[in-house]
Amino acid sequence: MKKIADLLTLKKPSIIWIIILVTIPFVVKSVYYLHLMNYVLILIILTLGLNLLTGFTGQISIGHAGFYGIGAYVSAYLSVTMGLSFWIAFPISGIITAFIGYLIGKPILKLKGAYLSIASIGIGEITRLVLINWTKVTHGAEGFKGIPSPVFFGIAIDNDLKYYYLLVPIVIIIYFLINSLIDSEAGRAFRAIRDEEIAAEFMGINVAKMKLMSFIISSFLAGIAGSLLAHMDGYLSPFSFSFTQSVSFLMMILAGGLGYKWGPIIGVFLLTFAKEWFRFFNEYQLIIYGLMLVLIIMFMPKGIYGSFKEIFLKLMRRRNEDAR
Amino acid sequence: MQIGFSDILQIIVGGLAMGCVYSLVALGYTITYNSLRVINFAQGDMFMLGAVFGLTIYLNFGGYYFISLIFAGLGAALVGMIIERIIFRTLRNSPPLNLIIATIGVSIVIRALAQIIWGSQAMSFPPVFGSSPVKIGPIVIMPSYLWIIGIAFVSILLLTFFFKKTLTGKAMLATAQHRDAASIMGINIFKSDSLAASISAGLGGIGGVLVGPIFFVETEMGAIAGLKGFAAAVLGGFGSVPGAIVGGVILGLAENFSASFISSAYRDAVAFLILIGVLVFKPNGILGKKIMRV
Amino acid sequence: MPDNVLEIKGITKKFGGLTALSKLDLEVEQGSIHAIIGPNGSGKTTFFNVITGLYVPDEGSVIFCGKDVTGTVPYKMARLGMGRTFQTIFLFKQMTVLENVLIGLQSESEYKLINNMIMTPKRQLYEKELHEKAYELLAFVGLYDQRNDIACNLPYGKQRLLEVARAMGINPKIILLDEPAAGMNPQETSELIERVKNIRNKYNMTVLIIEHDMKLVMQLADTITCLDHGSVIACGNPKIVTKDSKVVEAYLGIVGEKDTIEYNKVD
Repeated sequence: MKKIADLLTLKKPSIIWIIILVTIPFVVKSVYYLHLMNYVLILIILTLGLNLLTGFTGQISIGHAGFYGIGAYVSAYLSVTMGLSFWIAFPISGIITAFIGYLIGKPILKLKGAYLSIASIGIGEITRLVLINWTKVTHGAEGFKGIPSPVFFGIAIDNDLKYYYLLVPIVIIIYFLINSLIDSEAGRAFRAIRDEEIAAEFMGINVAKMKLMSFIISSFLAGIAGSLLAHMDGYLSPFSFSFTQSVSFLMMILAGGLGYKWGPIIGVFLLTFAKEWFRFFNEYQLIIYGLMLVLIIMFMPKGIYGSFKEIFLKLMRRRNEDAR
Repeated sequence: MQIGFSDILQIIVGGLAMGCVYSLVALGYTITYNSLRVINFAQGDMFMLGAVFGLTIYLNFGGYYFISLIFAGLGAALVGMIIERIIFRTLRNSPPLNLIIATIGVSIVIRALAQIIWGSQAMSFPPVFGSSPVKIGPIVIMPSYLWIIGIAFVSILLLTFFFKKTLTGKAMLATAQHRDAASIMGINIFKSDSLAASISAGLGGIGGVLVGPIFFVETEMGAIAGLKGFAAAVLGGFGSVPGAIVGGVILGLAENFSASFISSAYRDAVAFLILIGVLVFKPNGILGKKIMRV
Repeated sequence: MPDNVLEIKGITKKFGGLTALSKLDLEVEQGSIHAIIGPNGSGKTTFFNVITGLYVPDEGSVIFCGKDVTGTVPYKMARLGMGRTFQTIFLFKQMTVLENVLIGLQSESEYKLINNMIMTPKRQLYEKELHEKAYELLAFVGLYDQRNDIACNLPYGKQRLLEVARAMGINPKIILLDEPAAGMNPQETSELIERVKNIRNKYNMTVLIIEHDMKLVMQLADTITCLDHGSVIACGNPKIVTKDSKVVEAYLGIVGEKDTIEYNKVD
C-alpha cells in the first residue's frame, strides 16, 4: 500500500513510469494511437508550464495558445526561411517565446483574477491575428508548409515512432525539472503567492518578480511545445492557435487537477483521448465534451487526480487509525 | 485614397451602429457581473442564439422582423435563465477559474447544439431593412444602420426605465449592492439572479438579431462578438452600466476608423489592443468609479 | 547601535479627503515591548501598513535602524528585518503549517532558477536546516504536532500563533503584531503573553503590538502609545498613560463598556 501511495503521489522519482513510457510503442502498434500519443506528450510539456502558472502561482492565462503559436512559427521560420537546423531552432523558439512572455507579462501581471484572464485572452487573440495577417513571415491563412523533420546524427526523425522517442526524454527531463522547481523554495513562494499575495509580499517575496518568473517559464514551455508540434506535423495553420485551444489547455489541467503535479498529465490524456473517442458520436462529440467539462467542475472541482488522491488519502488515514 | 467629409460621416454612422450592438452585449456582461459576480463567457453565444432564433422565426412565421426580434430576445433570455438556474446557482462559491471554465463549457455545449440544429453553414437574413441606401443631406447611409441604432437606443431606454422606475428593477439593484441585506428586506434574491441572467442574455440576443441582416448568421459568430462586448465593458469601466454603453460606442467607432484608415485585416485586433491598453493603464475604464476586487 | 530601532517622524497619511494619520511621531526602543492602543478606527492598522511599506505616507519619514526607509516596498522591508502579522488572518491557506513557516524562513532567498530546478546536495542541506529552524519555531508557538496540517484547518487561535511563527521566521529585528489575541480564549491569551515575552527575551526581537485586551497590554508592555483620530494622544509608561485623562476619554467615549471594565480592573 505504501508503495502504491509513493507511486501515486510520486514521492520518489519512479523508474517504473519511465519504463512504461518507453515500452508503450511495443504495445501500441497502431500508428494512429502513436500519433495521438505524440500529441499528448507535446501538450504535457505545455500544460506542465500552464499548471505552474495557473495551478501553483494562481495566475490565470487564457492565452497560452498564443505562446504555443509563437513557438511553432518561430521554429518554422528559423528552420525553413533561415535554413537553421532543428537543434538550433528548437531552443531559440523557446527563448524567443519566453522573451515575448517577459514583455507581455511585465505589464499584465499587475492585473488580478478575472482581469488578468481577460487580458490574456486579448494577448492570445492578437497573436492569432498577427499569425494570420503577417503574411510575409507566417504565410498567412494558407499556413506554413514544408517544415523539416529533425535530423539526429544523420537519422531523419520523420515518423511517429521516431518522433515518440525524441519526445519522451524531453518530457521526462521537463517533468522532473518542473517538479523539482515546485518542491523547491521557489515553488513554495509560488504557492504562497497563489494563496495570499499580500502576506507573501510581507514575507520578503518579490511577488512581481516571482509571478513574472512563473509566466516566463510557462511561455518558454509553450514555445518549445509549439516548436515540437511544428516539426512533427511539418505544417502549421494559424487557425489552430485559437481561443478555443487556449481554453482546452485550461480544461485539461482543471479536469486532471489544478495545482497537482499529475493534474496536467492526466488531464491531457483524458481530454485528448476522450475527444477522439467521442468522434464516434460524430456531431455530438463537442456536446459531450462540453458537458463532461461542466460536470467535472460541478462535481469534481479538484479534478480527477485531486479527487482520487483525496479519497485515497482518506482511506490510508482510516487504515492507519485501524492499525493503531 | 481620398477621404472626404461625407465618407467620414459614413464611417461614424457605421461605427455607431456596430458600437450599439457591442453596447448591448457589454450590458449583458455588466448586468450579470453586478448581480451574480460572474463573468459569463457564454454571453457571446446568447448573441449567436438571438441571430439564429431571429432568422428561424422570421423565415417560418410570416417574415415579421419585429416579432422575430422580440421572440428571439425572449428565447435567448430563457436560455440565460436556464444557465443561471443550473450552473451559476450551483457554483456560487467556487473559485473564479472554475466559474470561468464552467461558463466556457456551457458556451461549447450551446455552440455545438446550435451547429447540430442549424448546421455550420453561414445563413443570410433577407434584406429586412431594405437594400437601397438612404440619402440624408450629403451622406449616403444604409437604412439598416439607422434601424440598429434606433432599436438599440429603445432597448437601452426600456432597460433604464425598468431599473429606475419598476419595483422589480429596484429590487435587482438592491440585490446587486448587498445580497444579504436585500434578502433580509424580503427581496427574493434568486428571482433577481434569474432575472439578471435572462435580461443579460436577452440583450445579447437582441444584438444578434440586429446584426443578422447586415452580416451572415452562423453558429460561430458568438465567440468574437462575446470578446468584443467584453472589451467594450472593460473600456467603459467594468460593472458600470453607462460605461458599457459608452465603451461599446467608442469601440465600434475605433474599429470602423482603424479599418478604414489603417488596415481592415487588423480590424478585430483593435478591440483587443484597446482591451489590454485599458486594463494595464486605466483598469477602471472610462466611467468605472472604484477599483474592484475580482 | 542606535537606541531606537524604529523612529517615526511626522507621518501623515490621507485617503481621499479622510486623514487616517496626522503628523504622527513614535519612537520604539531597541529590545522593548511597545504597545499601541486606541479605539477602533483610530488608525492603528493604517499605521502598521505605513511602517511596513504597504502605504507610502504623504508626509514624514520612517527611520529603521538609523536608515530612512520611507516608501520602501513591503518585501524589501521584510528583508531589512521587519516582520508582521495581520488583523484579518492572511495565512497561506492551502499550504501546510510547516510550509507557512518555511516561507518566512526563506525570506532572504533570491530564487535563482537553476538552484531551484535541480536538487543538489547543497540544496538538500539548506532545506534540512530550514526545516530544523521551522520545527524549533513551531515548537515555540506550540504547533509542532500540527505541522503537517493544512493551515486553514487550524482553529482560529492557532492560526494567529502560526502567523506569529511565520513572521518570526524572517528573523526580524522588530516584529509587529496586529491584535494577536483576537479570537483567543483566556488560556490561549495567557500563553500568548508568555510567548510574546519570550520573543523579546529569547529571540531578542523588539515587539510592537496592537491590542485591545488591556489586561494583556498591561502585563506585557514597557511603553504604551495611545492613538486617537490618527495622532498620538499619550505615550510613555503604562501606569501613567492609562491614567491620562485623554486616553480615558477616548476609550470611554468610543469603545464601550467591556474594555473599560477590564482596564479598570488592571488599574
